[in-house]
Amino acid sequence: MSARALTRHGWVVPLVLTALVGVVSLAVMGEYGQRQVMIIVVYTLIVSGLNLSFGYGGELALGQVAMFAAGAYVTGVLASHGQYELLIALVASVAAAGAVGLVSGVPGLRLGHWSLALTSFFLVLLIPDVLMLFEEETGGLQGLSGILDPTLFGITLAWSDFFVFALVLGFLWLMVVRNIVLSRHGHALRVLRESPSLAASLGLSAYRLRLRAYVLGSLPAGAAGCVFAYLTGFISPDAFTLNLAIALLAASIIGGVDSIYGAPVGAALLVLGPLQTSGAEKLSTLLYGVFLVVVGVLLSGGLASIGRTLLRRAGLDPATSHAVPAAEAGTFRVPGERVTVAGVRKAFDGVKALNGVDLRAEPGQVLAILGPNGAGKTTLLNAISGFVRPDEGQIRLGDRELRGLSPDRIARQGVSRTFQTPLIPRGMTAQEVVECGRLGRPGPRLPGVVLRSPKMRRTRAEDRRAAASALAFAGLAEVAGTDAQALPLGTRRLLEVVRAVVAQPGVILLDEPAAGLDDAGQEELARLVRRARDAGGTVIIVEHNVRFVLDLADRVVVMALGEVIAEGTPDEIRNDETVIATYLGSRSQAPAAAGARAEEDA
Amino acid sequence: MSEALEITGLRLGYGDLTAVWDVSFTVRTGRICALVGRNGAGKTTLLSGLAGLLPAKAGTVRLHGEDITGRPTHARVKAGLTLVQEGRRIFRSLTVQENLRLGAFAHDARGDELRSLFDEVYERFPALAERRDHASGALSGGQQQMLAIAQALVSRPRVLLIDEPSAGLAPVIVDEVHQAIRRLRDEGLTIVLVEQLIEDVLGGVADDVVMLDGGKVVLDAPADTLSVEDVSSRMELTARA
Amino acid sequence: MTVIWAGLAVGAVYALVAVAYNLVLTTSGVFNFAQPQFIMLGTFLAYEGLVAHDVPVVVVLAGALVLGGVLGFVEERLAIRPLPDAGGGHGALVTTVGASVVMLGAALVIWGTNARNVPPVLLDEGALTLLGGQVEKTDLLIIALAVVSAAVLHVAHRRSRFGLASRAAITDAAAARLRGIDAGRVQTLGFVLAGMFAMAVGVIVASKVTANVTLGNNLVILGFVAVAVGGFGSYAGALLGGMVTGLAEQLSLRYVGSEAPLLILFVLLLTVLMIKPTGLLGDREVRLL
Repeated sequence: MSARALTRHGWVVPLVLTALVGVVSLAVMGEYGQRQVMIIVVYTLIVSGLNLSFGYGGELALGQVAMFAAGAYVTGVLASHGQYELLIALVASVAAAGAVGLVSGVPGLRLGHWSLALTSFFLVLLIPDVLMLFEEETGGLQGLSGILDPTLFGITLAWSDFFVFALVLGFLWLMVVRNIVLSRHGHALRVLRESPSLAASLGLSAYRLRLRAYVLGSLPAGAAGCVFAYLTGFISPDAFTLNLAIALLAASIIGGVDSIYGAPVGAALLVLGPLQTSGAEKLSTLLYGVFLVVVGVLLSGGLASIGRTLLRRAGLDPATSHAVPAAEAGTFRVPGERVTVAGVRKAFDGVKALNGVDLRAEPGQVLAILGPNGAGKTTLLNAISGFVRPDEGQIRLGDRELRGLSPDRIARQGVSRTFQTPLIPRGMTAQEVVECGRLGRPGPRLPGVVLRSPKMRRTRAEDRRAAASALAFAGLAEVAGTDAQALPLGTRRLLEVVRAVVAQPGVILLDEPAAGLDDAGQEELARLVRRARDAGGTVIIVEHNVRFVLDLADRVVVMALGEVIAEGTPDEIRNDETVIATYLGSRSQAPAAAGARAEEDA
Repeated sequence: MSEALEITGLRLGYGDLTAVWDVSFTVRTGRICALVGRNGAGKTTLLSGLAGLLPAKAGTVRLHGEDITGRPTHARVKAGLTLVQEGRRIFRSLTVQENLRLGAFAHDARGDELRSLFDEVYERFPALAERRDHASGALSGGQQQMLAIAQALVSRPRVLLIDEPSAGLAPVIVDEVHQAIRRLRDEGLTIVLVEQLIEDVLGGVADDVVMLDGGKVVLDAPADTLSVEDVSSRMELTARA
Repeated sequence: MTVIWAGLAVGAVYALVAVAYNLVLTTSGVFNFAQPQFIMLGTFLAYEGLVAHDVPVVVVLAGALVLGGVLGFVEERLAIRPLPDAGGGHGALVTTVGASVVMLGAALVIWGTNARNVPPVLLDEGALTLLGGQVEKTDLLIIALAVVSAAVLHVAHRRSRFGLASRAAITDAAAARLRGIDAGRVQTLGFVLAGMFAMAVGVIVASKVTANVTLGNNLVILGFVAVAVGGFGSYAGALLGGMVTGLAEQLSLRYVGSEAPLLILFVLLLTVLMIKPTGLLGDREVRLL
């Protein structure tokens, strides 16, 4: 099977495997074996949610067990009131888990990853108290029994039917995760993991992305609770302990925290593995701990990363994926807008980085900002793109005021930028990197992504076409399918510019793109910038390399010590003595100093 | 008499990326060696490598004959090689005095010995003496640069690396900073200075000039044999042919 | 008033946990999830020494200091140092949880799930009546310990050579190295000191909290609440946060009901996180991952 087929039809193998497990369990295993399989399914659901939250979102949801308990108890309470319909119980359980996720996630995420981890861990400690609070409904510490005979669409399910239901549920959820991971939501999470600044510059709000991953990750735990309640018929607080939370974490880490299929592997190991033999029970906690430390230190990708390496060696690299559509030779327009900067001031700890800067950039023009190190050029760029909040002044794109907005909001307004060091996420092809440039645009909502709605397919096709066309625009069509991090520096720089252009922004800010490039690289870069300008874009380029810039720019602004000291066409600047003096440090204005130097030279 | 700093075949990089290729040059004792080159040429990387902040992929660094190539940064500082990073990286939340105290971790001077060391430094930079107990974040740019150099001096270096001290400072302040650097050289300190103000560099601040381009040494000569045009046009700082 | 004393006493325990957390936070910026397990092991050490083997208190304390220091060193070397970001990133989340579980697991294997009672250390049993309320003598000792250790460390952090070095190391590790500070050694020392402190605390509070394996997990959360309320990186904040947490717990236990304390503390935590995430006296330089 080719690599391409593997991903497009990547659901086939898991489906076959699941069906195989189902058939074998029902045909060969007794009820005990089938129960074990169902426990594996239950744990797979929870671990997969943990993977989504931690592996992709970076949030260690130690309290998944609380969502699991929420789902189980909601199902149990419904049953005790005579409601045995599985679908209703499922929906209610998932909703309850999501609510718990929201309540703990919104405040927990306010202060970084540890706050969320501990806030969610706290939830598990609260379980007994919450249950006691609603003792009449939940049975308190005694537990809730009689959760039997579930129905589906009104029909009571036999044991084997329920078994199939659980298996199908597990499979469907893994497919949901797969769809999310492969979609632009998945790309967004990978970008976030690489660099929160990059994510902001592409229009993504880190807080919202993380919250979404965390809440999403709590949903399958609710579903797991529902299945678990009917599986065991009896639930009590003893089933939802901190120890379970730790065991699930171990399962997640061992299977591979950022993998889709690591979850069932980890869950299976947890249920069937050596830790379940009677002698090892006492040692089990200790061994989990050792696993966590060892795997945490050595194998950051878990077993799944080993699996991926093996696949790659066998020539089936899942990363190089979908077909790259042939790029149209047609026109690529960039709807540039006017940028107005007026009276902008910014001081850092008493040092005036920007001391009243005025400038204007027009569409269809390249405006270059020159100046020695420390002049404030990058600070100005950061102010326009929102990474730095000016103390005073106005920054407008078209007629919209940008000052004071967060960087991701400014990006969504139409400001694209590059950074001094190339920021390219690992494991992405050039095509995918460029597609990320469109992440700030409104896209399909999550349900659409999960169900592969027509809107989702349309957006994905548009993203791919736009990216391919932008790559062709830059003359990079041949490298579209290559692993982006493996490309040479010059190409990676170009890729970043293409990523900035693909969103068709109102202004493109380039921060020292030529640094470290040789002559050929500078040539290609200049060519791309000119094309972006000719396509209608507004380009503001900050550079230190005078010669490169004077050949490329339409207008030049020269900064020093936080102020604009000269402005004009390249020719005017080329021969401007003040400008040259600023760069070289001449003291032609200070005769005394020059005299002193002359003395030393003599 | 061995040279202050002998760099042979030094290769430095970040991950797979190599930023400095087989760089070799010698810094003679008691002289100021100016390191010039356009942005991205590898100057800061080279200084980071000399200071031990980046491990060397290949090559050696000798400090007064001693091979310090494998040593971690704090050990190099104790051996007498220290770096004043660009951007005035002082500890802004600490006072001037506390910043200076940090410099003393390089050796074991305590009590009176330490106090006289501070007095020396305060004498050299009176503006800092007046602001001993102020938070260093409240100092002006020039004063912060002086503090950055002062706290490096407290560590009693034999070789001082200074990265772009003039960036963001007004010409008058730059003169003061360069004057202080020249005075240090006159007192016997060896200095490697990354500077972008070529006229100053060739106008008496530097004794020798080494130019980097694309991570390689392309020029290595005494300052008095070079003209401003030679250097600035090679660095593309001007667009004159 | 008895309730107030109870709150202050329990609060002192939480404050001591918070102080231990801060010892590592202020020297390496790592949140050591495993820290409370040192306290748990300390209580068992007290049991073994004082109850099972009749060893003099001084020896038990000395043993705690040594064992705590060694364990702290081992934890730093095995669970933090080898990480690619040396504790600054996601890896530490997993490995410190792992270290915590290892210690819990070892305690389970050695001592099982039964709680053990331990007699008071350094003072005998008995209560005093102070300011209108009853308070155990041991509780007074624990409160005094919390106040003194917070005060001493607060001053040391601001004035001592090591305090200065650690403030530099966590603000800007590269710049600190350029001052001749071995940031790695500062980190190791922080873990060692925290381990010594926490295990000794365990010996002293053993009579109050009893030696049992679930102690660590409870203290992890409540110690975190104390640090979150008081402010990360601040020893004065650790004391304040601990006391607030303890008082909130005891007051709600007395006046609301037995299910109330954890819930109320949870709400307290959420409130602080929403309104003042860095805590009341938090040090802005200590940025929690």
